[in-house]
Amino acid sequence: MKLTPYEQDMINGKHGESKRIAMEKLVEFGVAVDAKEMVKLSNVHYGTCTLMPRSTPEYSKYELGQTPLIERFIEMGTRVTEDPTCIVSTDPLFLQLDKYDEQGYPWNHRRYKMPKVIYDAVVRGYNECKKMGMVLSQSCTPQFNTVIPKMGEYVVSVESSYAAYINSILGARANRENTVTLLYAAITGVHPKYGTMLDENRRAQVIFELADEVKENLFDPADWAALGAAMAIKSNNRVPAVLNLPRPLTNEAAKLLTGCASPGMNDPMLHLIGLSPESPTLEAAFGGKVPKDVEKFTITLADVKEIYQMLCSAKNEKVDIVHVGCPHLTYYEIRQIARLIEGKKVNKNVYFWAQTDTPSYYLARHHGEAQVIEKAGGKIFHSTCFGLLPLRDWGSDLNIATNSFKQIKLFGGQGQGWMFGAMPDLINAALTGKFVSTRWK
Amino acid sequence: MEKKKVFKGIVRSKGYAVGEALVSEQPLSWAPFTIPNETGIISIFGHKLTGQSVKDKIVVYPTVSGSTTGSIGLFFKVKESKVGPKAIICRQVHPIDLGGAIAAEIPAVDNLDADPIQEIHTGDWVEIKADEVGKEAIVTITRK
Repeated sequence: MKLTPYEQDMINGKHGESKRIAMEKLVEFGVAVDAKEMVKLSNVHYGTCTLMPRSTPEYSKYELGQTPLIERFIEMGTRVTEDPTCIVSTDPLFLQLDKYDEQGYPWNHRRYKMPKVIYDAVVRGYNECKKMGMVLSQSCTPQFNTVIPKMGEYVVSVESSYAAYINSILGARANRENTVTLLYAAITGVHPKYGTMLDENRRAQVIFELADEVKENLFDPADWAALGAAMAIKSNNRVPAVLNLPRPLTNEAAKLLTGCASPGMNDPMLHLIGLSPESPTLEAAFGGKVPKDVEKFTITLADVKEIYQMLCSAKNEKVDIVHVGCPHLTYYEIRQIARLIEGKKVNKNVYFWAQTDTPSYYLARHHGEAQVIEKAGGKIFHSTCFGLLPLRDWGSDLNIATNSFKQIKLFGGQGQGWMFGAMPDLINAALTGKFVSTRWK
Repeated sequence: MEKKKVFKGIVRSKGYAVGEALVSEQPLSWAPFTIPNETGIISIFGHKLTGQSVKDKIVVYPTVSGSTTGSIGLFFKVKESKVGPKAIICRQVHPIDLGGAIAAEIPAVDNLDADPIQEIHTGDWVEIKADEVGKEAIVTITRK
C-alpha cells in the first residue's frame, strides 16, 4: 500500500506505540482487501464498548468481542486521533446508565434483570471511551445531531443504517465497516480505501421503479422499512437505483429506507434518483450510461404487503412487548407516538418501549411528549440498543411487536415470536394486549 | 467409497485447517445475537440452520448478512469462547467477516473454481491450505 509521510511515520512508531500497532493492523487489512492507499476520515462511528474481565460471570454472553481488542490500548493510555477534523463518535449502549435500577425497561423487567457486573462493565466502557477522547453520541442515527458528513468525505461506521444514509442521502462515503479495524481507524484517523469508498463500487447495478400506488400510499414508518426490505431482498447484494420516490422524502422515511442496509445489503448504497447527491439522473447512478441488460423491477404495494407478512412469526395475537426505535426514533416520531397514546392506558401485561437518542429524548422531555408516553404507562429511554441484550434468556413464550425490519432480522432468531406493524396498530397492541394488523385491510 | 475433490480458490485470510463442513445455502452473520458468543449455535430469524453449532466446523456460506459486529463476533468465538469455526469458505468473503477471520487467525477463502455451496456438503471432510493472502488456496474435500 502507498502511505503518506504521516502514515509512514505512524507505522514507524514516530507517533507512539498505539498508532504503530494500529497502522500495522490497518495495512494488514488493506492488503487483504487489495486497497492501494488510506483515506483520511471525517468520522469514525465506533461500536458499543463494555469492558469486563474474563473472570466476569457470563463473560461470553455479554462480551460482543471488543474488550480483548481494546484492553491493551486502554492499558497504554491510548487516545483517539487528535485530528480536529475527525470526530470519533459512538453507537448505543446496553442500557440507559442512570436508569439501571428502574423497573419496566428492557434491562430490568419481569423476564430479565441485567446483572450488576455487566452494568459495571458498561459503566467502565463508557468511562474509558470518554477518557480516550470519543464523542459519546451513543446513537445509531448520529447524522441527525452529532456528526453530519458532507459530500465526498470518508467515514467508517459500525452502524450500517448510518453508512447507508451517509452514502445515499449525504453523498459521503462509508462501508458497512468491519468492527475490528474500526478501533484502529479511531486511533489513527485513517482507513484503507476500498469497497463503497471507491467510485467503481458505488455505481448502480439494478433498477427499482416504484409503482405510483407505492409512491402515493406509503406514510407509516413501517411502510418505509418494508419498502427498503423489499428492495434489499430483490437486489441480492447489487446496488439499487430507485425511481419514482415521493418528494419531499421525510427524514423518517429516509432513515427507515436506508435502515434496510444492515439486514439486507452488503454494500450500503442506494441511488435515490433526483435525491442522492451523486445521482441526479439514472445515467449518473450508473456512472454515465445505463447498461441495456440491467435488471429492472417494478415495486408494487403487493411487494410491500408481503414484507409485512414475512416479518410476522408470532403464533398467536397476544403481545408482551411493543418496541419502536430501531433505528432510534426522531423527535418527530416521538410526537406521533405521543399523539396516538395521549390519555390512554398501556395494558398491564404489556411493555411499551420507545427508544431514541439523547438529544431527541431531552427535546421530548422539554416539550412534554416524554411525560405523555410515561403517563400512559409506556417507557421512553435514550442512548440504548435493546437488541444487544440476551433476548434468548427471556423465554420463547414471548411475542414482540415492532416496526423495524432491522430489529427482526438481526435480533429475531432467539426464540421469541415477532409481529411487524404500522404505528397505530402497534399502539393499539400496547393498549389492548393483542396485535391485529389493520394497515392493509 | 471415499471420494476426493480438489478446488482452487483465493486466500483472503491465511492459515491451515482441517475439519467437518457445515454448509449454509443462506448468508450468515457471526454477530453475537445471531450466533451467540457463549454457545456457537445459529439463531437467525428465518435461517434453515438455526439450532446447529458452528464449533470447530469449516463453515461454507455465500457471504455475510446482518450486523457489522459479525467481525468481533467471529473473532471472539474463535479466540475467547472457543465455540467458533476452524475456517470459512464463501462465494465472496465480505470484509466484515474478513476482519474477524484475520483477528481470529483462521483461514478465509473465496472465489473457488466451482460453487462451494453446490460442491461441498455438510459432513464432508475439508482441508484448507491458505499460505499467502491474495494467492492461491487449495481446498480438498473428502466424502465418505
